[in-house]
Amino acid sequence: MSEYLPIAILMTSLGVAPLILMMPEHASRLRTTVNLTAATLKLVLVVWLTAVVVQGGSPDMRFTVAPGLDLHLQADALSVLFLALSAILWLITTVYAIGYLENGVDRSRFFGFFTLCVASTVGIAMAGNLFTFLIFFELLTLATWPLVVHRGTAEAHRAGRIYLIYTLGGGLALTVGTIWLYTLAGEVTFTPRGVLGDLPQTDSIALIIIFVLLIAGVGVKAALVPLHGWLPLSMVAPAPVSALLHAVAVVKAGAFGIMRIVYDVFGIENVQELGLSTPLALLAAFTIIWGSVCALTQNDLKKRLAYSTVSQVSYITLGIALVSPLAAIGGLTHLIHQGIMKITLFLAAGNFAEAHGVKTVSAMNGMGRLMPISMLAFTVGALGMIGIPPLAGFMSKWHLGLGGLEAGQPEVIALLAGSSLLNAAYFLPILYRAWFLDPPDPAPVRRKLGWMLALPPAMTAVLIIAAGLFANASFSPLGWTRFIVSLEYQ
Amino acid sequence: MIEVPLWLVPTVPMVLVLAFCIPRLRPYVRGLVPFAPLPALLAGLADPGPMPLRLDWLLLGTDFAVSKTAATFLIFTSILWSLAGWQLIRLLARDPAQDRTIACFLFAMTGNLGLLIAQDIAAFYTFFAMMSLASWGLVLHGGGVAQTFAGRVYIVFAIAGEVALFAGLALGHFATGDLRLSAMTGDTVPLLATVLVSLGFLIKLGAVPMHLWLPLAHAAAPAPASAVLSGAMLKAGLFGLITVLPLGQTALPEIAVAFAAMALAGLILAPVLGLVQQDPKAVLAYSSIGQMSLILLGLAAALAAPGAWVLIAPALVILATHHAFAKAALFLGVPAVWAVDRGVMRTSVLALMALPALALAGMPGTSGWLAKTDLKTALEGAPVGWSIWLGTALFVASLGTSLLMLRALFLLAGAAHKPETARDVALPWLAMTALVIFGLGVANISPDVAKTASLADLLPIATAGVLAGLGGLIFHYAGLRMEPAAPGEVLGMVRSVSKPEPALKLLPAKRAHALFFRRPTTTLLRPERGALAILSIAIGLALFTTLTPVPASVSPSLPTGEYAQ
Repeated sequence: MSEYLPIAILMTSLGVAPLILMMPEHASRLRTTVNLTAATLKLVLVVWLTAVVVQGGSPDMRFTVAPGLDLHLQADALSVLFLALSAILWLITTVYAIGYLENGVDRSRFFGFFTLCVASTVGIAMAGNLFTFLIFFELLTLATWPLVVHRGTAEAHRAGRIYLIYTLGGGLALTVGTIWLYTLAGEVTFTPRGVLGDLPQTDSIALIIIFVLLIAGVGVKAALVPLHGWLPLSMVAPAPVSALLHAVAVVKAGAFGIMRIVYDVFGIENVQELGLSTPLALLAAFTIIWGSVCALTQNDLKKRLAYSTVSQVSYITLGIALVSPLAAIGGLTHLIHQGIMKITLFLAAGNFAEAHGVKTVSAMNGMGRLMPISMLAFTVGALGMIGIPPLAGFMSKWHLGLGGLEAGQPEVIALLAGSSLLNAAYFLPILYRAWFLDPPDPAPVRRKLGWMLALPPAMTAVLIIAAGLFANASFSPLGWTRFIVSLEYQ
Repeated sequence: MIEVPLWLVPTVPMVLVLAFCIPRLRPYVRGLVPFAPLPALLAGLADPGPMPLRLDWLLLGTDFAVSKTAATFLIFTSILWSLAGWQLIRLLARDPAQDRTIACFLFAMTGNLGLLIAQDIAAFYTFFAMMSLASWGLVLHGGGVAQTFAGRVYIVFAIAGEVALFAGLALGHFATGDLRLSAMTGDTVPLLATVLVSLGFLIKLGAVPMHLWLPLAHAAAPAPASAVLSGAMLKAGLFGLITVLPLGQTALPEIAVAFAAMALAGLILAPVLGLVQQDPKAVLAYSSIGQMSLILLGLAAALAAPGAWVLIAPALVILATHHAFAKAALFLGVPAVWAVDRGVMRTSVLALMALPALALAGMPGTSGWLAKTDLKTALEGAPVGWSIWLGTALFVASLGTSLLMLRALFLLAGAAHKPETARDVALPWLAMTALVIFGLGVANISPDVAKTASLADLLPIATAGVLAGLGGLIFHYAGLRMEPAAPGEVLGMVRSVSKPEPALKLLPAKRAHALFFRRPTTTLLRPERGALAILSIAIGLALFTTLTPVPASVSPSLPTGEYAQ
């Protein structure tokens, strides 16, 4: 029974997407029911899958497309990490999106592609080989484009165009790298500690080039500097899309891709032997600082958050590139932690814009009094990003810092300290304005928020607190990543 | 004594914060604020101490326990938070922003009480951060220009302290592999880790030159918040230092010299800068810097001569407890002064406030005298090179405190009557004043009472009286008045700070009285520049005296080896 779980989980979104796309625009009740049922069902199935994986199972499915070219779905511990994130946050974001787009236009199109987008992340999470990964990775690009340009303004179309140029360029690099690797090594199935095994010396130049191609391909989505240009522009998308893009789908798919390539294709030891781990770590370090510095200068709230994502996602890359189990724990945990923190920030930011038309940092005055729940959620997210204990972000930073020391690179501590200072410098002024300055009188009011908008950020804020407070419990993200890392570093 | 489960200590104030999120419950929660530190008080008083608690699932695995030092700290900290909370809810009863401030107050209380019982790095750091960040809200209460400026300076220092702590704790934990905070004292901990962690605590302690936030924050915050800032939260820095430094085990001469230099600079700077303040709360804040410098001096001596720690430790605990009660009584007295108009009432209030003031100045028979003589005795165990100036330093400390106390009382005597202040703010103040007398007993401290006061102990107070009298006469007959000094000292030199002109101006009040000055000279003295000069001289002197090699013929006055463990 459990061997059908991967395909069942994939179908809860991939199978539902065309249904939603075909629904008439006015059938909003039906659409909502289908959406929420699918999201809930997916969550239940993921919980089931987690139980299976914990007991040592690894459900596996193959469909041969062409000789030597298999579509391979496989659920291992790393997939479950990403699946759990996407299942929980998809449900929350769907609720939010339904409230957000109440009385909107083109909702069938929106929710159809929204579901397709999640289907792609599910595929990416469970891809068992590089080919399958590539297919879903490209599907994700195509599924997100309609969401970015959803509003149909000239600005949205420009952002969409740039998004496509960046991601299709990255996709091309990834495709070339994949084909090259398949010609060299045959089928590249993801296996812990790398599929390439002992590398023949002669191939090292080719392998380095392949590695660069693959990382550049996924690095576009992971917004590694200098491949991050599309991310701040795509802020024109509606709030739930931004939230999903930054927390689960696109950016995380990139970071997850880096994980798969380093851990399960090359193997961390081979990456180190090829001399590639240090450059990758340096690139991540530079991105962390650069993103934060850029965030400082943004007055547009969502742009500031976007640059913050550029910076924070590179924590994950840094954790992978530092050759150390503790750093890996930090990086992998941050995949989850950054997700719940960033989605909270974006959902709250969306609420400010919806309720009071507040889109810039300078207009945030008195937000704490006007919208206490959303602002509390935002505060928790922001403090978590700075790395204030006991919130989730602290746990990632703590392990990353220890990992840096373990890898013999104490500079990482200085990097994290600097990043925390920069995070404080761009988040605390927002909190100051919101809680300690008076709102404009009279405050501009656009609409009243229902529970569907107010509740999701509050729920994710609770997750941030819980993920940090109960970090040592086995069911926490930290507990799960410890389990994963024990498989990679044996 | 009632047996209290330790988890109640941080949980009770935390539950009140959560209850605060429901607007309908707020009126009830406000009334409960003074009772929130009750479990902490009981835990501190319990004999034998409460059962240690191990919570594996919390944070990275959390340990709660109460050490002997922590018990004393718990007692005075919880009493301070309780009485300050009482005054806060009365003082802000009609303030529209009261709920925000009370929530911050409860948050900071959770942190302050929690860090005293946390045994592991993650929990300690969590509580410390909670306390530091929530106090930001206390400093910003009121939202005036002064509060905004103070808030900005405060949060910069607080975040810098957090980051230094993070880096230091991570380095230390990696070296030892031990998550217990006390492991930071181990031999394998790199010096850099100790320095970074100390830096985080020194910022909280208000050691010069990391003190810049302190006078601003204390002056800006509401009086009861200043009372806990000064009485309880500065001591959290001390508690942290006591916990992480290898006191009594290993000598750290470099850190000792740095601490001594900071302490001396603080002892000299505090009165100089405090005396030119116009706000009584700022004067009290500078006096706190002076007192904390005295504590720092004790730590420095113990770091230089580990053998002296057995005597210095109890002296420092007494000094901390005494300062907590006395300074809190003074801060809580400020609203009591506002509440009454000039006349008999105000005179009586001021007369009662003179009690903690005298205690701080070290009047024989008071807790301050006990603390200072204890410290004096303990410091005889310091390295020989130090004894040359230690006596002078202690005298300067007492003289400075006495002058500052006179200045504070003088300013309070002339403070404006604020009729909107409820008169019952005086009740917690009265309770605190009583604790100045009985506080050491409540805190289970039984100092060596066999000591007798000598006339020399009165010398600093007498000198201060004479100096103040002379100063008053000169100011009166020369017709001088003091212009407000720049808040933020050296920060006042930063151009972007829009504050009153950054200068101590001695301006003739009336032309006719201008005996000393022919024409109005605007800028005679810039206190912040003078402060810089004094700071550098003090550091130079301290480095010189401590680094000068001791002649081999001189035998140490107290054997350092005997006490070493």
